[in-house]
Amino acid sequence: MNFVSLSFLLFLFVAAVCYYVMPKITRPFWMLACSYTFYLYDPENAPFVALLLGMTAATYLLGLLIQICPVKPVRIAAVAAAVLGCSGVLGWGLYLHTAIKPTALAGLMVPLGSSYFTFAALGYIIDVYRGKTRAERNPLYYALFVSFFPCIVTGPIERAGNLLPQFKRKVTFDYNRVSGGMFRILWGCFKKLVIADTIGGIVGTVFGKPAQYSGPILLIACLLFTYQLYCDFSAASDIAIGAAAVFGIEVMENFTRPLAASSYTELWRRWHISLSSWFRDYLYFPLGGSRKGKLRAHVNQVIVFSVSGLWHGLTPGYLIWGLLNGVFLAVGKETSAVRGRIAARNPLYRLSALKSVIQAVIVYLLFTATLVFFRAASLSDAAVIYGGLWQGWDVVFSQSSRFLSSLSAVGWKDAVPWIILGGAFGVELLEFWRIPVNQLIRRIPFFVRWPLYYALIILIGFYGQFGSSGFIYQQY
Amino acid sequence: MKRFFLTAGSRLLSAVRLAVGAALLAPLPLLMVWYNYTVDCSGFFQGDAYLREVGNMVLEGKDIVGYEKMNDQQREILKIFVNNIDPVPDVIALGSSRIMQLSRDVLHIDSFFNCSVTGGDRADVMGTFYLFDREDRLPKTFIIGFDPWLLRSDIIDKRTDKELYAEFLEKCLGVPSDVEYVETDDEEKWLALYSPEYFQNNLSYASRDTTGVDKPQVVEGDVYQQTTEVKRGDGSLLYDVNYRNRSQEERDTDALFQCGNFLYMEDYDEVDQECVELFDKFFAYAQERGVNIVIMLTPYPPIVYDYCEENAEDYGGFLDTEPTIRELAAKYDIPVYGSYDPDKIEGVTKADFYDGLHCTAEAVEKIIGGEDGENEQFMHDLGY
Repeated sequence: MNFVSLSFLLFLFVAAVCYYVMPKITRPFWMLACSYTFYLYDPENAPFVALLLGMTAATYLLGLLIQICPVKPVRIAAVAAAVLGCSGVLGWGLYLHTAIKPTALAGLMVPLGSSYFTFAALGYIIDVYRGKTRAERNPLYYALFVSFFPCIVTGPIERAGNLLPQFKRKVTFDYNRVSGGMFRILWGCFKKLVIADTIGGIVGTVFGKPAQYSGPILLIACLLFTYQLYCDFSAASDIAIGAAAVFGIEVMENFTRPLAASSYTELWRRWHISLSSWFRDYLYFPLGGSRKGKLRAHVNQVIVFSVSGLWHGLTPGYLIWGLLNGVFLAVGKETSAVRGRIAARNPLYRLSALKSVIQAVIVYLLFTATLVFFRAASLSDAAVIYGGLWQGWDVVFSQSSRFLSSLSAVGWKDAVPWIILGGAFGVELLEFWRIPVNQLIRRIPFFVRWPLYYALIILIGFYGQFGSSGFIYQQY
Repeated sequence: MKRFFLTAGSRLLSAVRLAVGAALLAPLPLLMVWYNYTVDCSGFFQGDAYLREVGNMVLEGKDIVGYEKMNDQQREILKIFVNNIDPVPDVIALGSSRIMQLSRDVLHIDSFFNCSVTGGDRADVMGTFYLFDREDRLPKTFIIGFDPWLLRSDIIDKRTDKELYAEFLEKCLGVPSDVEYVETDDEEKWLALYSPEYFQNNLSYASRDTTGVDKPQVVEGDVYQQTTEVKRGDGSLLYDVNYRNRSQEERDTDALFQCGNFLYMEDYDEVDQECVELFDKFFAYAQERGVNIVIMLTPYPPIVYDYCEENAEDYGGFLDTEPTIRELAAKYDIPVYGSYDPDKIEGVTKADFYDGLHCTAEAVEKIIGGEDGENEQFMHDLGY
């Protein structure tokens, strides 16, 4: 079921009404039924429900075994079995996604949510092994944790320690929480349909045939892709968090204004937090983390990001994206002290606001540089983009009308993209000054707040790109 | 007790706030549904928007010019007529352009609409009947302009809605058809009603710039002095003033062209019994549904008919059609007016034809007997 559809809103409404009407003891099981209904709503997911059920049953039993069995080799074997099984599912999904993506069968064969439920289940098994979480004895609660519908499509990748206790907690209806959740969904729909998908049209055109475009257009498309990816992915998280809040479940934040980050390390502390922290806890730390010296820490970082890159797809582009991020982080940390000393003498950095802006711009540009490999269809396309970036700049100044018509040709028509980007920039600026706009809207008086709700809905109705695509991260 | 009241009060407050929120949000989706239904650019609910615009002009009783540009879409507009005509007229005419001169003025009946279409064949006749039948909007009487090609099995106009015809044959007459028809997909239609995507399409459609678009216009000035064809508000057709006033020589030239190039009648040796059986079932079905049928045979110009008689061996199918249909009509007690043979209609001469196929409104008046609607039998047959 598509998050940004009226079917989903209707589904959510019915699910929530029944949830609050039902006796409290039955609510988690109702949520489980809703999660499987959500999963099976699109008939093409039906073949994969066996995979979801199988993985749920297997990891549930392995969890119990690890908890109960005192024999360490058996417990290790159970963890190994879970790791192998989950990696197998992830690998299978990756193979299908990478190898069969260009064919029409791709959509039918890649299991929806496989990343979410394998990461969630694997994290649970490791946590049980480490003694951080007790094995869940009730299989229905565990099944709900693995298939929790707000998170199954694009995350956030939740931890058993956070979700399972919430399922058992008595939830009473709280108007502020429910309406806050609904607003978060509305905010997510706006970001996805109006901002991300409008930008996505332009980005898709340019990245589709990069050789046809000059440097300025390529640069605009690259810069826009970063923002598209942020809006698209964070919108999915907003909707997931909002939907969970409607049911009184608090899901972890996945993005905390990452594009305002003043360093690359900070960017990755704010971007896709649930996956980053998952890799940190279950890969980086087991590799030794930073406990075995600086060099080893940097190597571990690069390994983690390379794996993260390959998780997106078994292509050189994703691998390079991961490697570059790992390297940028390592270089960032290594040069931190030197940069600090230089910064102290930089006159532009005397104004703290200007310093933050300059740093955020540099981080944005570096991140964009890596994302070219992420978005380009192939390495040769990425090379074309990097080669083309330096050409055709004279047109911007000498033949501005030609440049504007090129912009128009890639979809930057009329005032709509300007208005959307202007509005988005305004929101980013407010957030840069630590004013969270979506929370601000929830706090302002009723007579101002409701017209804003109306405006958001009307803007979605007028400028939303309906039916254009799913979420970018839905495919991973 | 105090805790109970506090909890109950808090829940009541939440319920009220929720209800107010829902009430405040409700107008937006309702507005979208209303807009989607009203503008309906894809014609899910009211037919194609552009065609609907044209169709509604006619249904409002307006005479329009430029309708000939829409010859290929007449069947679609017909569906709009059927769905939107209100109330359903007492009398509906079915057939081809050869019956398009049948009008309210000719019949002296206000409750009449001419649903004939250019190139109308048996699939059009039965399909149009079915459109009314399917919507349970049958009139009192159908006047069928029975053209000779209706009994010729291989004549189906390329513009005909064959699926509609097939549906009628299979569902109503119990006759299997080679053409497969697809049941109307209501799901898509109702999904469109609350689709934001459809809302955007409707917004674009409603705000489009139609300046300079060449489309039918309401007649300005004297309707009888128009230099293009006029689709009358009753569905009948008024040829342009120049065509109506052509010299006899020009009309005869057209008639002579039909001799040897007779539309749909060349290589037609005998009436197709398959079609006769089909109309047999059709008449039985129509009577079962409580509808009067009146058959009208509009004449051919004397030049054409005489040529066919002289070459009877080549036009056996044409010449046999009239006796066959009269025999079939008699079986169901269906009145038949007119004849393909102009000599059999009192007062009809070659001057009563615009060309080699189409007779004038005056000729139709002569068929029904009298210029002032004084043919009581005809009015009785129409159900008055």
